[in-house]
Parts: sequence; structure tokens; C-alpha cells
Amino acid sequence: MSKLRILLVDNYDSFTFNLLHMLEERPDVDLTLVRNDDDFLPLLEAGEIDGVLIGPGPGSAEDEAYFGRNAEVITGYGPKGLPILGVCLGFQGIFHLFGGTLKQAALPVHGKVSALDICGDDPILQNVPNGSMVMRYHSIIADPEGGIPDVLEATAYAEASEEFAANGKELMAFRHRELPIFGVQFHPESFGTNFGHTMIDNFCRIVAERKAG
Amino acid sequence: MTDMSTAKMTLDWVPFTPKDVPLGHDISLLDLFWLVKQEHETCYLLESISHPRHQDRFHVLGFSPALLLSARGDTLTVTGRPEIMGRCFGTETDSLKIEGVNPYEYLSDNLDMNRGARSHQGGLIGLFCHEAMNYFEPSMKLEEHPVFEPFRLGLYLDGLILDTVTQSLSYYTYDEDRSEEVKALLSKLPLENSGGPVETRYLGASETEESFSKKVADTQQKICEGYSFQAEVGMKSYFEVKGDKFTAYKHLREVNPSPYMYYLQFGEQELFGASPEILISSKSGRILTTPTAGTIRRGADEAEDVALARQLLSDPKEIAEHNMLVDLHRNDISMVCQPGTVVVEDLMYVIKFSHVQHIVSNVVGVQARDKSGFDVLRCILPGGVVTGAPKIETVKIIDANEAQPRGPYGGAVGRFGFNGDCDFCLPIRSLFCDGDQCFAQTSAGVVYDSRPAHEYQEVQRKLDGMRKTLAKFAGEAQ
Repeated sequence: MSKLRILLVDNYDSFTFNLLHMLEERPDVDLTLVRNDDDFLPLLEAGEIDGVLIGPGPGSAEDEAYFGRNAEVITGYGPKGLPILGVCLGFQGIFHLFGGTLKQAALPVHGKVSALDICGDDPILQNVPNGSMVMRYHSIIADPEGGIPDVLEATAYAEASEEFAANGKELMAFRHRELPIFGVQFHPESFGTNFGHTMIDNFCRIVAERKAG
Repeated sequence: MTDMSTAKMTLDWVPFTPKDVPLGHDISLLDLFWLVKQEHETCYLLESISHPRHQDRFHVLGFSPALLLSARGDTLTVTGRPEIMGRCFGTETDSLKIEGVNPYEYLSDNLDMNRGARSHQGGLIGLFCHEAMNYFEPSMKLEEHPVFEPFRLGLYLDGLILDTVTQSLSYYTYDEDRSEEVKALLSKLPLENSGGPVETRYLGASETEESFSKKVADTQQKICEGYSFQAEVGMKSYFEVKGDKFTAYKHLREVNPSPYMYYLQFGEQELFGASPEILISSKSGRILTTPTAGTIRRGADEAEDVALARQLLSDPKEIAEHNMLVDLHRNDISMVCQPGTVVVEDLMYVIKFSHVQHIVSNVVGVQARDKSGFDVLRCILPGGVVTGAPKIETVKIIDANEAQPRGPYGGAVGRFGFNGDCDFCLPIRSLFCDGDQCFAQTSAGVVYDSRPAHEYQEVQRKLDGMRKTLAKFAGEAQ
């Protein structure tokens, strides 16, 4: 079988290359790295990409200056069945573009781990045990009061802790109900996340299945 | 002066093995450096006088390099002996400007540093400023420091190496043999007292506690809005230092003996410091970085040291900051390492320095075959310890906060060796002088819940070593 052509979108971030290595370690992946304001949409248009990983990044996913062409990837190519995994800023962008509300957390969580409370069947979290620790770096959260958009299914929350109680219920992962679109608020690429490789392998499996038709 | 924008540069003529000349043992390299400094306006000394010494069993000294290379904007200026210029550029001139280039990429594209030899035997040695980031990251447009160019390097074809295990001193050269000149200086040793009179004066700081606190608060606002996780907020302290700056360095070695001590002189520019950490090193293709963050004082005895280390390693704020740096360093070296080889070899051990204990981790990886020493430095400069994460956005916040360019602070001091290795320390706890006018910078890592008063204390405390050193010579010539 031909290689999985995965596009990794760098949002001018400092964790992108951790994700890049997780993908490049796999002999079946042919990786293309771009920045969010590069002219990469023609690659998608030409059908030369099998899956997109939208990485973390600073700023707001609602601001084009920080989210670049990712919005067009999600709204233009997501509905055509292109597998997309959003990490942190990518998660927030997908959540926002499908109708969710983002807000500043009462307490930013930077460099701290939480246990995952897995509540849905999420192919990205397959073989990830409930209670696994995940590393978090974010100031913005999916606003729980705004509700989860109908097309998305919440699949994991951060296990409630006294330390982050002020933030309320914090969404950590979702999947689209019909499309192969997924988001994780935490950082699978961090050294502090358990089973991060499993999650990336799961995404590659989804891309492979889609590619095989 | 010759203008050449398309000139190629080569080091292919440098022999693979230098000539070695043993010079004896139990010789003070420090005093020898002082003698060298009297006769050569460009010279360097790199030494390591307290643990950890990840690399430097060997202390090194060099003087009057074959070429000087410095960058300003899109111009690389090279000066040196016409004979060497001829071998490098095919034109025998004493000076040339290569314009309309990215000076760093120019060196990276033109120079093959895999010349054999050993890692301490010369190479390109000198200084990179914070603003060299413009050359690595096209989205950055940092204002350059008015005095200190983005980088300044000497091409050192000879020099001295002190093996601290055997205390033997040797001279090496790839070209002209200047060992007789060195021997003439050695005949003057031992000296009763190296270093001439020096007089220092504190001139003030770039921030008051109030203005600093405001910058901390502004930065925290940016952090809450999602632009950064952690950003270093810094301030400069200005000093006038008249006379022999070497004397101040000599005292700094006593006040703050450190793993990475250096003295660089380029004419009127003199820089010296007591750095606690490397920025990056690559030896035989193995890359090491040692992110250092999290600080607590030393105890009066072993038991108190342990109690304090326990307190440090159970502080969630310190651990969170350190986690961020570990992930940042993993990311940075991943740009030049083979996929799958980047690992956190040691996570959060504690090193006891003379005045403080720090949390340190070792992040290592195997350099990809198609990457050079130039790629290695490019991936990490400026280091996360003095900037923050995400790095690009955070440096923009720093740039808006700090009225003057950082210059050498938080850049890199070290060497691209002729064997392909590279070794750079982080120029912090340092003094940067242009003639008599000098500055030190200190900064504190600000996160969303930092307390401005505490951070102000931290930038003051980090200045202690240099302040104490210079205060000894305040107001009166020795």
C-alpha cells in the first residue's frame, strides 16, 4: 500500500516538531510540514493529502492571523471526508467552526497534567486506558456553558480536580458524529502524556482506513 | 575593501590534522590569557571551573584569529590576513563585504566544518546575539543591538588547550606556527598578580520596580489570552568599567565559579560571564541540551540542602515551568535529530551550584546525517530558558516589553569545531562591554500566576553575583 500522505500544519508553535517526530517515526507516513499561512490548499485540492494534523499554537483559533488557512481546511475539506485531527489550537478551531463557543479559562493550565475521564467511543482514544495522564498547555477552553455543537460528541473530559475547579468541566476530546474529524485539547506529543503514540497511531489507522476506502 | 555579493567561501584548504606542540604542565591558563590579552586585541578564553562539566575537561584559549566574520542585517563582513582571505575566497584582500545575503545561511551553505581533528582544536569561535534569530526565523524582524552585531566569530586556526585532568598545556596549529610567541609569554610565568587596576560605577537600571511590575502584569494578560505559556521579563543594569576588565573577570571566578566561564574580546567589545548552563552541544553527532529552570537556595548543611531540594521538587509552579521547557527543548532539537532518537535522558535532577540549587533535565538526541553544526545552533537560539514558549510569539512579547535590544544576553557563546562538533553556552550572568560602557541583563520567567514583587526580587537576585563582583572595584582604582 502506498504511504499515508499526512499534512502537519504548524501554527508558529514550539511543539510542532514533537508531533512531527511521532509521525516520522512511522515508515508508512509521508509527511509534509507547512505553516498555517503557506499556500498549501492546492495540495488538498489536488487530492495529494490523506489526512491533516492541525497542531497547537499561540493566539486564538477565531483570529485568522493565528489560525491561517486551517479554517478552510476544516470547513472546505472536512465535509469531503478528509481525516483531520486538531491538537490544542486545532481542537479549539474545529470546536469553534462547528458552532461551539471558546472562552478564556479562569485558570490557565500550562505544563500540568490531568487524568482523562473518557466518556465516549473515540477512535483516537482506542486502547488509551481511562484515567491516563495527559499534559495540558492552554489558556482558552471550549466553553461548557455554550454547550457541545450537535455534530460533535464529547469523548473525554479532564477528571475533576480541586486545583482546576474554577474552570468548571473541561472538555479534553471530541469526535465529529459523521466525519473523521477529531480534537484533543491536551498534547499527545508531550513527554508528560501517557499513550500519546497510541493516539497518533490511531489517527494514522483512521487515515489508512479512509484511504483504503 | 572589496565588494563581493556572489563570492563563495571555502575551508577545504584547512588540513585535517593540526600540528601539536606540548608546552608543559601546571601552567596558569588564566594568567597566560592576561599576557595574551596585552598583545592581542581579539582573543578568547573558555573554561569550566565548577560542576557540572558536560563537556569541558579542556579549557581553551585563542588569539588574533586568521579571520574575523561579523554580521549586520544582510551583510557579512570578513577581515583578515590577505593570504587566508585568498584561500577562503580566491581574492587576496584584507577585507570584504558580502552583501544581500543572510549571513548565517551564507556560512551554513558554504562551510564544511567536518575537517577531522578534535573538538577543542579551533574552528569558528565567538558570539551570537539574541537578534540572530532574524536569520533563523524569517517572520522575525527584531531590531539589532546598536553595538553588538547579530554574530561575530573568529576563524581560529591555532590556540592553546589545557587538559585539566593532567594539567598539561599544548599548542595546536593548522597553519602558521606561533608556538615560539607563546613560549616567550610562558617564560614570564608565574606572575605574582595578573590583572591591572579597574574602577567600576553602577549607572542605574532600565526598569524601576514599578515599571517592571507593569511589564509583568502586561505579560500575564497576554498569557491569559493564549499568546504565551511563559515569557521572560528582563531588565538591564548599566555599569561603567574603567581599566582592566580582566581583573573583574578574575574576581567573578571567585564570587561565582561556574561550569561555563568565558571571556571574549573583540577590540573595544569585551564580554565575560559565569554561565550555569550550556545552550546546546553536539559531539560525535550526539546532541545534548540541559534545560535548567526552578531555583532554590543552598542549605547550611547536607540535611538542609535535601530539605530544600524536596521543597523545590514538590512545588507545582516550578514543575509546570520545567515541564514546558522540557517539551520545548524536545521540539527544538527534533528539528535536527533523527526521528525517534529524542529522549529525556534525565528528568528533573537537582544540581547544587555555589549559591543556589537548580532543577535540570538532560534532553538528548542523535543528529540527523544531513544536518550540520550550523543547523544545530539554528534550532535552539535563542534558548527557551531566556525566552519562553511558544517561542516566536513569546519573543514578540519580549521585544515589545524591552526598550533596548537584548544583544548578547541569552544568545550563544562558543564554537563550531573543525570536526563538525559544536558547543555553545548561554551568555547569562554576564557583563557586556563596549569600551567602558557595560551592561548586564537578568530576567525572570513569568507565568499566569507569578507575583510581580517576587519576580522583581528574582531579577535582582540573579544580578547578585555580577553586582558583588563589580562592587569590589567601585569608585577607586585598585
